[in-house]
Formats: sequence, structure tokens, C-alpha cells
Amino acid sequence: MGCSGKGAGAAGSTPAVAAAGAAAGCAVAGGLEVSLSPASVVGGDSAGASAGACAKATARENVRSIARAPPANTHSRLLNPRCCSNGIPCRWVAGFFASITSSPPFSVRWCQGGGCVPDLARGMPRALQCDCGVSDRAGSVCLLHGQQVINRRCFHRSAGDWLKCWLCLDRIVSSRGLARAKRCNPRLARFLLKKANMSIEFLWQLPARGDGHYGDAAVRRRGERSSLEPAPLTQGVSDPRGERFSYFDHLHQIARAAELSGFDGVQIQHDPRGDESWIIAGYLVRGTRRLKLVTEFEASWGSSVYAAKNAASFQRYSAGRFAWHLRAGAGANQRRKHADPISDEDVLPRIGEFLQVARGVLTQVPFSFKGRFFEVQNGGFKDGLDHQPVPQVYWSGTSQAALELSAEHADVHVLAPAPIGELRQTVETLNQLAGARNRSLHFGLRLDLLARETDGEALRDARRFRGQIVELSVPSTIEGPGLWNGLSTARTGAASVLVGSYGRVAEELSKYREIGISSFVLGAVPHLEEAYRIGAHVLPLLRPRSRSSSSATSIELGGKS
Amino acid sequence: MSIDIFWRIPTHGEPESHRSRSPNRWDLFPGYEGQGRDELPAGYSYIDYLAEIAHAAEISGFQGGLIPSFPMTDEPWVISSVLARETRTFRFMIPFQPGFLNPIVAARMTASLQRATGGRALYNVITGGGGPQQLWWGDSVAHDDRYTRTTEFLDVVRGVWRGGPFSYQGKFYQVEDAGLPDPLSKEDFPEIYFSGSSDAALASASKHADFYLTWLEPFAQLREKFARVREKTAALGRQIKCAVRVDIVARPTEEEAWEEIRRGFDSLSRETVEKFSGGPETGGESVGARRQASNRPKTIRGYEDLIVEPNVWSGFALLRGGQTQGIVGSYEQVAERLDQLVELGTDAFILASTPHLEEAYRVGEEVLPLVKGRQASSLRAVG
Repeated sequence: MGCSGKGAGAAGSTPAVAAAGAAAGCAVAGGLEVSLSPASVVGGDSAGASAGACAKATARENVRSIARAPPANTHSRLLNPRCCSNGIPCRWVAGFFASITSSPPFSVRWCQGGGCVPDLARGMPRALQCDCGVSDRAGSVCLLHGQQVINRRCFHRSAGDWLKCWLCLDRIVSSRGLARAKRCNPRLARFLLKKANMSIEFLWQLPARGDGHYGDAAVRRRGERSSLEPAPLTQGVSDPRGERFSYFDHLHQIARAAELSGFDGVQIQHDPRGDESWIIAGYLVRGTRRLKLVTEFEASWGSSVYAAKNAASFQRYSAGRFAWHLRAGAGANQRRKHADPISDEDVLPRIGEFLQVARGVLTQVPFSFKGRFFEVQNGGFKDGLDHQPVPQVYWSGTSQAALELSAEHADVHVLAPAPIGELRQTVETLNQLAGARNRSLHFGLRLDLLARETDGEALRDARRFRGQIVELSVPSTIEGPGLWNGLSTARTGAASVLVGSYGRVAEELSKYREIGISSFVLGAVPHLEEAYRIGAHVLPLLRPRSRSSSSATSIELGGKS
Repeated sequence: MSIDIFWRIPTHGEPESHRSRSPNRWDLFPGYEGQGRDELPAGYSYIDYLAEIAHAAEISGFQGGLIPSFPMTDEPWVISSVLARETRTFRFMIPFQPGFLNPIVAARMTASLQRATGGRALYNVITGGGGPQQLWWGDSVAHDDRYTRTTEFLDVVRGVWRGGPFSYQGKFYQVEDAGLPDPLSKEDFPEIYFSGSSDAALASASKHADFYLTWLEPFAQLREKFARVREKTAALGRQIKCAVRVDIVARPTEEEAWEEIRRGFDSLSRETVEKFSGGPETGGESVGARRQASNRPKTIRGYEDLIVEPNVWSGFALLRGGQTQGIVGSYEQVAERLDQLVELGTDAFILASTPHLEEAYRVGEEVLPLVKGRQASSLRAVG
């Protein structure tokens, strides 16, 4: 994952290739030799045409014409206020990309001290970087030379060959680029390959309402002392804790566990009975370094502009790690409880408007909009708040309207577990819907795991859970390993639990991967202990570790090495 | 009852001093793009600097700080939650406009923040200057209606706070059987600082506010304003306290303090000064801004023309934006003026000076120990 979260059509391979053509001074038409994830081939192929058109004009002419009249479709996320102190502002360089791609995935973040125009005239601004979020920190070191990019000179001259985010590389890498990398920096080549294999994303769920103990489905808030419960220790044993700790300390621990054990992010659950997800996200920003913070909430949260503005602050403080998981929420009864008396038919349209406005104010100045639920006049973020990546949008839903919403606005459509054939069909439908809008989608799966060393152990614990859960949907017997509905506790919110040995669970998950699912939103109680377990025993089976990646990779190096 | 003194977090950017706007620390100062903006080292963002200031404020004895929210700034909800874990006593004063959040969500956010910080969140409820600005935020409700909405919003947040069930039929909000879940419902309700100078604002403030917050105005005017607020709340059978937001420049000697102001003023362009003397800059509906503007002289030749009473200078907006009046003087003088404000009815201060980090230590170490506060004045009354 990584490079999505852009405007319409941005997630496909096309813009990347076209931008690459531009990047190499129109010389490279885009070597689309390596395709990394099943989703990557979606998105059409007009790259050749764009790059060809580009080749007719020199870069210098392009820049001049753009400088005179910035194209209307300038993608404002490309603007970099720091970039040019005395040249033509980068927005015009951005416009250059925008003019040849529908919506470029790159942002021009660093360039030569004198401004990017002279650079572009010579071929290209040196440093290209994607909006994947990790970029701010990691991207500031030149991957080729290991020097700080701050000096603005160390990016390799042939940056244009490298058509992808240096960091996330989740889809396309020019094999020429890889070959060059291998030649001039084997370490970098390994890094790139590793990154390529990481196009699969694992998120760990953060339970907002409470966690549990091992083998126990009861809701508990670890670290927190409820005045209703008896003291945890006997009177004969002194207890130094008092009421110093709250559940937030545990949430922080879970997030750290997820980070240390190799997850790519956390999904911060929205639960009206628990702590508020945005506050949890904020609480975790400084204690985590690279975790994506996928924050679940409903569009009833508040004004879309206010949400977008809060999101911009999150992006600034977390180096772009903040993402949104929109929920439709419960029924009309619940909404009345939550000061949100809109009708059922309005729920999805409001989410659509919410996302449209949020994207608008984050990417355009001025932005005006008047819809049924939101209105903005001359909006849009300026000064320090502009250029912040639009939070990646996760969304789930099965109705036709929900699928349409996904095709229109989402970056990742999160599915509930179902037989593979059924899911494949949904994936295809969504791909068609998105394709018709010139967009592409990633796919996710929300699933709880009950993985143990052996199937037998897993079954024993599954049966124990079954005995403890009071919900009606619990299956009467657990006959064997596999996918079981109703076994999750209400707290985790997953529809199904995958029960089995580590190997079996990994195998099942890889089947989902084959139909195009690249984003796994996983959970298990207790979340801290299970994060370590899954991180140690299951994830490595699905994602080769860095030291083995060069042999186990699904990508081949092109060219001579 | 002793007084509370807060500091401010400069969400709106940090110039090096009052006397010069350049270089700016890091990235957020509107309108100065490209002019002497420092770059943060890789991997850092503005929050790292704000964290420094929050620590400075808590170490040097401030209650906490106001975290202003403007169109170009980061948002205080984010800043508070991000800094929750690494601060100990710093109280986060969160300005927000009730219309921007669903009240039930706001209640949950607040209670969660209370849980995350050990009860260190408080509100600065603002209701918006109005005009075109308000639609920038995506809010189309008219000025006086917004105060009705603010009142209703706080009705709901208070109503659900202890767990409910709470039902409400308002013009803007309707809820049925709502309530905060346990254990969120066990948290303390945040203190409310309320801003707004119009009649509609005062009416709303008198119902919900713990503190009525105003910018510094001429002392006599302020005394009269506080009396009016107290009278209004008393009519409702409530008590309200008063708070003043004031910029200060405190130096070892008065000369040094005024020298700082003089240099800042002399570096301004003629147009800036002329525009300033012409009246309020925005077409907004803010009554407070109009009150401030009406206290300015019509022609300004030097910084001295903006001295409106001893140690009070009304040109701070020129140097840094925001409010116009502030206190300038030696440590002793500043403390004396603050005590005068206490005497005329102030129960809390939000102080600020630029740069906020160094000045937090300076003010905390040099000025705060000289402030007698409330206890002193009551003793004097007895004696």
C-alpha cells in the first residue's frame, strides 16, 4: 500500500508511468515491466499516449507555457511551499505533471536550491517522492547515496527511471531502475525489493471499548481501575498503582506491540461505547514511528471542513500516517441517540459529500461547494496547512449504493469475510465500477484470527470462546479449523474468526491475497499478546523478511547486475 | 480564591521576537511564505516545537495554555491529544466552535481526552466572528442563531455527561435517551472559558460559562464589562468568573521593554500602520474586534501614540496579529498591572509573549512570582 489516497484516478499505474516519462525529460516512455500486486494492473493504460505527447514538447517549453497559464487541473497537493524561494513556484511544476497525467501521484518535495525550473529545463526536478506518508522522514535520506536530501544534490541523476515512490513502491518499478539500483547500490536494490514485497498491508485493530484476557471473552480495560470492581490485589498485598493508569496506557502498549511486531498500521475502532477514535489516534502519534493510524468514525462526526482541518494537523504531526475509515453507523434509533436525526437514505450521500468536501478543502484553494449536507465558500487550506495528503479513505459496505460510494471516493474497500468466489465477484464488480470512473481501488479484509501452534490448540481455544460468548449468532459446534462466523466478541467487530494453526491461517490469508486483497485488518483478543503472536508466527509466512527477500521475491531484477 | 494563569501555544507561528518577524521558527506563519522560514530537521514537525513550549509552560508554573484555532493553524483537539502523554500538569485549553462538531461526539472526545490526560482538558467556546470567514469553515448559520446553537450544544454535552439518559428537543440539536458510556461518564466536566462580546454572546455565556474570557480593554471599560457579565449571570442564579487574554512584554527595566516595542513598530511599513489606524481589518461580525478597533487613535506617528494607559500598548496586532492591547513594562510593572486587573475582577489570565518558549521561562520566573493575585486583594480588603 502506500501511494494511494489521491484524487480520482491517481491510484492506477498510468500516472506513475506518465510522470516517469516526464521525469526523464520525456525520454522514457515508461517501462512497465514489473507488476507487483494483483491490484496493480487495474487502471488502464494510456501511459504511452501521454508520454508520447509529452515527448513532442521540450520540458522547457512546457514549463514556460505552464508558467504563463497554470493548467486548471493543477493538483494542489503537489505544491511545495519550501521548494522555490526564488524560482517559479512548484505549483507550476506540479501543473506540468498535471497536464500530462490525470492526477499525478508524486509530490515534488525537494529540488535544487535555486528553484525547480532550471532543473526541470534540464530534465527533471531531482527528487520525486510519493505521498505515501512515510516519506517525510525516510525520504529525507537519499536512498542511493545515503546522504541527507537536505543538501538537495544527492539524488541520482537518473531519478526519472525510478518511477515510483522510493519508499512504498507498491505497484510499478521500472526494471531499468531496479537494475541501475543494483549496479550502483546493492543495498538499495534489496531495499526496493523488500518494499515491493510489502505491497501487502497488515493493520492491527485497536479496540476502543476494552480488551480481554487470554481465553476470556469478558470486556476489560487493562490498566484501568473501575470503582465498581473490588481491588485487584488482596488487602495483604500492597498495590502501588492507585488510579494512575487508564486504558489509554494499554492502547499505547498495543500500538507499540503492533509496530514492533511488524504491522503496518492500526485500525482505531469506532465504538460509541468506548473512547473516541480521533483522540486515541492523537494519543498514539508521538509514541509510534511508522504505523499508519487508520481512524474509524462516522460522517456525523461534525463538519467536513473541520474534520479535514484536524486531519491536516494529524498529517503534519505524523508525517502523513493518518487515514480514515468511514462507517455508516448503526440504524436510525442509534442516530437519534447521537444527535444525528437524518434518515437512512441520507447516510451514504452524506458520506459522499463529506469526503468530497474534505478532499476539496485539502487540495484546492479556493474551494466552494453547496450540497445537501455541507456548504463551503472560498474554502481551502493555505499557509502551513496546504499540501497535506488527503487521508486514505477506507470504507466498507455491501449494498449497491455502498459499492458506488467506494468506487467514487474510497481508496481501500474493506470486505467482510465470505467464500472466496463471492469475494472475487465483489472485487470484480468494484473494479468495474471504479474503472468506469477512471479510478482504482485497493481491497481489504476485516478478520479476527485465532491462530495457535497447532490446529488442535486453536480449536480448543475457539471452543472456549464459544462457551463464553452470549451473542445469538454463535455457532453450536466448532467442528474444525477454518472460518467461523459469530465467534468474535462484540468488542472486536469482525464478522468472522479464522481458526487454525499458523500455517493454515497464513495459507487461508494468502488465498485472499490471490483475489486482490492487499490490506488485512486483523484483530484478536488480547490485542497486545496476540499482536506479538501474529507478528512472529503468521506475518512472516505471508511477507518475506528483508534478509530473505532477494531469494523469495516475486520480482525479478531486469538488466545485468 | 487564587487566580489561574495560563500561557499560550503559538499555533499561528513563532517569529523570533516582537521586534522582528524574521526569522520565523519553522513553518507556520501566514503571509510570510519564503521569508526567512527555518526548515525543521528531517523527521521533525512543528509539534516538536509546540511540545517544548508546553513543557516550558508547565515547568515554569503556568496552568496550561490556550491553543488558538484559526483557518491557517493546526487544530487544538489534535495538539492536545498528541501532547497528552508527554505532559504532566499542562492543561489544554481547546477553542472550538460548537457548530463544527456533533455534541455527542464532542462529549465523547472530551471525556476521552480527560481520560488520556488525567482531567487536563478545558474548553474555550467561541462562536465565530461571522461573515465570509464562517462559510470558509463550512458554517452558514447566522450570527445570533449561532449563540443559540452554542447554548444548545452545551446543554446537550452537559446533559449526556453523567451518563444520561438525556433527551433534548432544540432548534439545532435533538437527542433521545443519550448518555456517555461508563467509564467516560465518570470524568470531570471541563471548565468552560467563553468568548464573545455581543449581547447574544453574553446571554449564552451566562448560562454555561465558568469563565467569561475577554481581550484586554481599557481598564475602566473592562471593569464595566465584567460587572455587566456578573450581573447577567447573577440574574440566572449562577456565578461566573472573568478572565483576560493579554500579550505582555516584560523586561528587567521599562526602557528595555519599550525599546522592544519601538523596534518592532519602526520596522513596520507605513501602509500597515495606516491600514491599522483605519479601523477593523475584516468585514466580520465580531463585536470584540470592533470594540478593540474603536480604542485606537486615528493617526499614528510613533509607537507612543498607541500607549493608551500606563504600560498598556494597543498595537500588538501590528506586531503579531490577533488582539491589539497588551502590557509593556518592567517585571514589577507588569505584575502590578496584572494585580490591578485582578483587583477590578479578573480571576484568570491567558498570557503570551514572543517567542513563547523563552518567554514562558522569563515570565514564569520573573513576573509570576511578583503577582499577588486574589488572596492579596482580599486580605487588603479585610485590612
